[in-house]
Amino acid sequence: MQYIEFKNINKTYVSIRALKNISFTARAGEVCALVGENGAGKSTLLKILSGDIQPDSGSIFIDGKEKHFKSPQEAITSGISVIYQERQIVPFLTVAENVFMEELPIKKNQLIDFNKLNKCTQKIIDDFNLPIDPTDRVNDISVAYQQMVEIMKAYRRNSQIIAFDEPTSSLSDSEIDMLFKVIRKLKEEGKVIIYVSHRLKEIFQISETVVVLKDGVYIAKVETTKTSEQELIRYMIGRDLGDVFKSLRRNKNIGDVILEVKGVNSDRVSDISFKIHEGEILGFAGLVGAGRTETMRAIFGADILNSGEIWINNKHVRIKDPSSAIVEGLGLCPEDRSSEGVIKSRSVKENISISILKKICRQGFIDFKREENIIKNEVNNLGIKTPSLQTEIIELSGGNQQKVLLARWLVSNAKILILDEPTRGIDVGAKVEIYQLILDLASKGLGIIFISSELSEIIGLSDNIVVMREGRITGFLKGEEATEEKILTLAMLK
Amino acid sequence: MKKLLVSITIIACLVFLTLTGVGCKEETAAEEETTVEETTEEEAEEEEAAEEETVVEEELTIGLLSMIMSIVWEQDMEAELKAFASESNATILTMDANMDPALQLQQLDNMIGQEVDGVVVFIADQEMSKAIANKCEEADLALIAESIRMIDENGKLVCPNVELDGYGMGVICAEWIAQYLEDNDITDYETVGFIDLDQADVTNIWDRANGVEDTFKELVPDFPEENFIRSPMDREKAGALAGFDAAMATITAHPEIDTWLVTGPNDDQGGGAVRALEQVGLDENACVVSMGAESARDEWKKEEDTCWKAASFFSAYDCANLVWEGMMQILREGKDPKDVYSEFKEEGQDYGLATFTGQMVTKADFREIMGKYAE
Amino acid sequence: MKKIIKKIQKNEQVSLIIILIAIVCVFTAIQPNYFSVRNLINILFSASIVGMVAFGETFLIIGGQIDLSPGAVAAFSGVLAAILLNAGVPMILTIFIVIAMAMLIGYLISLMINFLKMEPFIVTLAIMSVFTGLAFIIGGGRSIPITNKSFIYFGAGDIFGIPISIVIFAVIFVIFHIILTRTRFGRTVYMVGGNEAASRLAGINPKKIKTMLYLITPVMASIGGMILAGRMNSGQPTAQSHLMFGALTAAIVGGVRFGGGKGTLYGCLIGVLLLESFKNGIAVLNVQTFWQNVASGVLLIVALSADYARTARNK
Repeated sequence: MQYIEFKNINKTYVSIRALKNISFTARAGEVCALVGENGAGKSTLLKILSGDIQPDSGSIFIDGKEKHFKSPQEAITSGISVIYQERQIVPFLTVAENVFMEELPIKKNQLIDFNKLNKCTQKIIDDFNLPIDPTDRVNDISVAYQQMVEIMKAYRRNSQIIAFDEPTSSLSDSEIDMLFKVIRKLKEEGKVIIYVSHRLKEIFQISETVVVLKDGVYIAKVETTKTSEQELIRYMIGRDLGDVFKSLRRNKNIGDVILEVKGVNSDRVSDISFKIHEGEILGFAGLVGAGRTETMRAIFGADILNSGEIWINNKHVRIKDPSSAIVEGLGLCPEDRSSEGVIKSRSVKENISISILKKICRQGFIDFKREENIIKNEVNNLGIKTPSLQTEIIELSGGNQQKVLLARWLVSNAKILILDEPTRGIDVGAKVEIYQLILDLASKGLGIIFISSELSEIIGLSDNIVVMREGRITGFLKGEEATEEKILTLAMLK
Repeated sequence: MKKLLVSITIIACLVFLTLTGVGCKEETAAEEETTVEETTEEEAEEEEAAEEETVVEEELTIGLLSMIMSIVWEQDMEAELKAFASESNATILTMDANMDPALQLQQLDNMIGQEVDGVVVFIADQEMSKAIANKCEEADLALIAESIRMIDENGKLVCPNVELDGYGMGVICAEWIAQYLEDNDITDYETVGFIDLDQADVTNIWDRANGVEDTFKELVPDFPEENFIRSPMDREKAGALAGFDAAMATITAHPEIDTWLVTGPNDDQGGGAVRALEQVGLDENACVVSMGAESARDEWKKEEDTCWKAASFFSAYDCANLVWEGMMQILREGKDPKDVYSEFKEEGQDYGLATFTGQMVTKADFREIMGKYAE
Repeated sequence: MKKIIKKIQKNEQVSLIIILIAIVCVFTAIQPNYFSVRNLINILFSASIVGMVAFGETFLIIGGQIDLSPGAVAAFSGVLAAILLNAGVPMILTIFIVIAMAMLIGYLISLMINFLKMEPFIVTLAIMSVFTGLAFIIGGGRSIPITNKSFIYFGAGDIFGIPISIVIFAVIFVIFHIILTRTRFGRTVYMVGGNEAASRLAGINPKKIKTMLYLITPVMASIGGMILAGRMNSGQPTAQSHLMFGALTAAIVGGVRFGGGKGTLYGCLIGVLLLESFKNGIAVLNVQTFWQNVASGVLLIVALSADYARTARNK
C-alpha cells in the first residue's frame, strides 16, 4: 500500500513562518484535497514536496522511507509529480515530445525514434480517452488539454504521487468534468493524489479527504462525506459565511442606458449587441473561450473592431485605442491580472495614478501633492491594505491588487467598468469584500460589466446576465430568474 | 497599408544613406585615381625615353588578388603596382575577394584561365596559403604574398613574402628619439619620462612597442628604468582616445616628470597622446613620435608648433617596390622563387620574407619625403 | 547600529557607493597621485562621455528597450562633424545637422520596432553595423583632422578649470533626472517598461513613448562623439565600442533592472563613476590590457552580487 506522510514540516522565510509542524498522511487510492486561504501555506508545502525548496526541519516519508529532496529531479525520481498552475510545457513542441520530454526514445543511431514516440504517446492518450493527437503542437491545443499533457507526463513517468495546484482555475465546467474523469482514473490505478484548490464545490466532487491549513498551521483532516462547505469555510477563515450573496447590500436603483453596443464584430466575436444601465451589474457567462474577454477588448479598443457601433450616454463614440476608451469613461480590469493588469515593479501609487497622469500633470510635470491626495483618498475608500503608497504592488495580496486596479478606474471617474474575472485567484474572505465593493460601485451609478467563470458569482451579483458561446451571444437572462442550469444550457448547447 | 508605407520609407532611407556613403567613397577613390594617373602618366613619359634604349621585353600580366579593395592600403598598392608595371611593359589585373576566401580561390582560377604570368596575393584567409601556393605551382605562376604571411601548418613560408616590419619601425622611432635627446642636450634624465604606448593583445602593436623599448634602452643605457613606462591602451576605446587615456593616466601617475617622450604604435594613438600633453600643459617640452604619419601630416599643415615631432612613414610604395623587384627577378631573370629575398631568409625557411620599415619624417621635411602621400 | 545597517540595506545605491569609496581608497593607497585634482578631472571627463550615453540607455532600459548602436553612432557623428567643418559649415550649424542626423537614426529605429515589430536587439545591432561601416566610408577610412578652434574648444576647453564636457554632462544629468522623476513622460517610461500590455490598457500609448526613447540615445551618442572629436582634434572612424559596453554595464551596475520598469538616473551615475574610476585606476597603475578586461568583468560580478546580497537580505 502506497502512502505519503508529512512529518513535522517547518519552513520559515525571512520574517514569516510559512509552515508550522505540518503532519498528515495521504494514502493510495484517495484524493486528498488541501484547502486554505491564500497564504495558508499550500503552495509552500507543494514546493517542498516537489523538491523546489527544502524545509527547515521535518521530513517526508514515502512508504515509510524517509526522503529529503534537494532538487526537483530527486523528487521526480522518487515518483512525485506536481502539476502547477503555470504549465511547465514547451509550447512549440508536440504533445508527444512534451510527454516524453526527458526520456525521448532513441534509435540505435542516436536519433529520436519518432514512430515509437508517437505510438507510446497515442497509447497514453487512448488510456485517458482524449481527442488529441501526439503530433499536435502544444500551443495549438486548448489550455485544458495542455494540462492533460502535463498529467500524461506524470503518468508516463509512472509517478505514484501526483499533486495538482489549482488545476481548474482556467478551465470551463465541461473541461473540469474531463479533468475529474482523468483524476478518478489515476485514483483507481492506486496513485496518491493531492489536490489543492480554492473551489470548495469541486472538492466535494472529487476528494475523499480534506486537509485544511490556516496561516501555515494544520487545522484538521476530515472525510469529505462527513463535512460541509460551511464547516470547511469555518475551518479556513474562522467564521461562517452563510449564504454569502444574501448578506450583501444590493443596489436597487437602475438608471438610464449608459452604454449600448450595436452589432460589434471583431476577428474573434460576431454580432454582439447589448445595453447596460447606470447602476446595473451585467454578468457575462460562458465557457472559457466563449469570446467574453475578446468582446470586451474590442469594445475597449484593445483589439481591432471590424464593424459595429458603440453608444455612450446616447452618443455614438469612436474608440480607436484604450486611451480613447478611457476618455469616454470606460475602465477595464483585465482577466490576466499579473500580465495585463498590474505593473509589478512599480508602487501602489503609480499603479493607480497611471490612468490620470494627464490630470495630475501641469505642463508635463507631475503635481505630487495632488497625486498623493487623490490616491490616499481612494485607497482609504476601498480599504486597500498596503504598508504604504510606495510599496511595490507585487507585495500585496491578490485581493488588494485587484482593489488597486479598481481604484485606478475610480480615480479616472470611469462610468462603465469592465471587470474580467475579478475574483480569480483570490481567497474566500477577500472575494466577499470584492463582491461588496462591486455592489457599492453599482449603487453609485456606475454600469458594471462582470465576467466570471464561477456561475454562483454571476448569479449572486448580476442584475442581468448575458450568455455567450463561440463568439456569439446566445441568451439574456434576468438575474432573479437565472439558475446554473439555465446558464449552462445556453453556454453549452447548440 | 501603413506597414507597407513604413517599410518603404525605411528602405528608402537606408538606400539613401548607403548611396551617399558609397558616393562619398567613390568620390575620394576617383580623386585618388586621377592623381595616381597623373603621376603615372608623367613617370611613363619619362620612362618612355629610357625604354627606347632597352630591349623590348615580352609583355607580362600580373594578377593582384586583393583581400578587400575598400581599404586605402589596397587601393594604394594597386596604384603603385600599376606604376611599376607601366615601367616594365606589364599590366596589372586586380580582383577583389571582399574578405571572402572561397571567392579568392575562384578568382585565382579565373586568373589562371586568363593566363597571367604571376600573382600578388593579399590573402583573405591565412589557412588557405597552401591551397593557393599549390595552384600557382601547378599553373607555373610566380607568386608573392604581401601584408599577411602565407605559411603552411608548420609556420613555414610557402612563397616569397613581403610585409611591414613592426619591430623595425619601433627601432627607427627609438633611434630618432635618442638622437633628439642628444640634439637638444637633454642629459639630466631625472625629470624625463618615456611613454611607450602599447596594447598587448594586438600583435603588430606589441612588436612595434618592443622595438621601441629594446632600441631605446640600448641607445640610452643610463635612462632610469622607472622612468621608462609601457602604457597599455584599452582596446575597447578606439584610435586617438585609447592613446589619450593611456598617456593621460601615465602622466597623472608621474607628476614629477616635466619632459615626456612618447611613441605611439599608430598615428591616431600618438595624436591622442599629443592631445593629452596639451591638456595638462606639458606639450612645450614634450616629444611625440608616431608610426604611420597619415595623421601627423595633417597636424603639421597647421601653423602652430606641436609636440608631435616626428613620425615613421611607410607607404604602399615601399611594399610595391619590394614586391615588384621580386616579381621581376622571377619572371625576367628566371630566378628560383626560393632565392628571391635571400638576404631576408631565416634559418629553416625555404623562402625569403622581405620587410620594410619606412623612414622618419618631420614637420620640416614631410612634404618632400611623402610626396603625394602628404596630401 | 542595527538601524544604520537597516538603512544601508534599504538604500539601493549604498553598496555601490561603498564599493566606489573602497576603489578610490585602494588605488590611492597604491598610487597616491590617483587622488589628485587632475586625475579626478580625468575620471570625470571619461565619465562624462560614457555617462551621457549611459543616461540614454538608462531611459531605454527602464522603458524595456535597448540600443546597441551608440558606439557606432558616436564614431559616425565625429567623422560627419569633421567633414562638415572642413567643408566650411559653421560650428553651430554643424552641431545642429549632426544632432538632426542622430534623431533621424533614432526615428528609423523606432519605426522598425513599432511598425515592423522587429526586436530592438536585432534592429540596433543592424544599425550599429551600418554606421560602423558608414563612419569609415564617408571619411575614406582615415581620421579627419579638425581645425575649427571653437569646435575644439567645445571638446577640449574648460570653464574655470572644469572641462566643458563635464559641465554639459552635469546639466544633462540634472535635466534627465527631473524628466525621469518629475514629469509625465518619465513616469510613463517606467510604466511601459514595467508592463507594456498593462500600460496600454491603462491608456498609455507605448509606441509614442518608444519613439521618444529611441531619439535619446543616438542624440547622446552624437554629442559624445562630437566632444570626443573636438578633444582629439579629429573625427575618428573606429566605432567607440566602449561607449556601448560601458553605458550598458554602468546602467546595470547602477541598479537599472534589465527588462525594464526599475532604475534611477543617480544609480546609473554612480555606476558610471564606479566603472570609470576603476578603469582609470587600472590605467594609472599601468596594468596590462588583458588584465584590465579580466578586472572589469570581476568588478561587474562583485557589484552585482553585492546588490544581490543586499536585496536578498531585504526579503
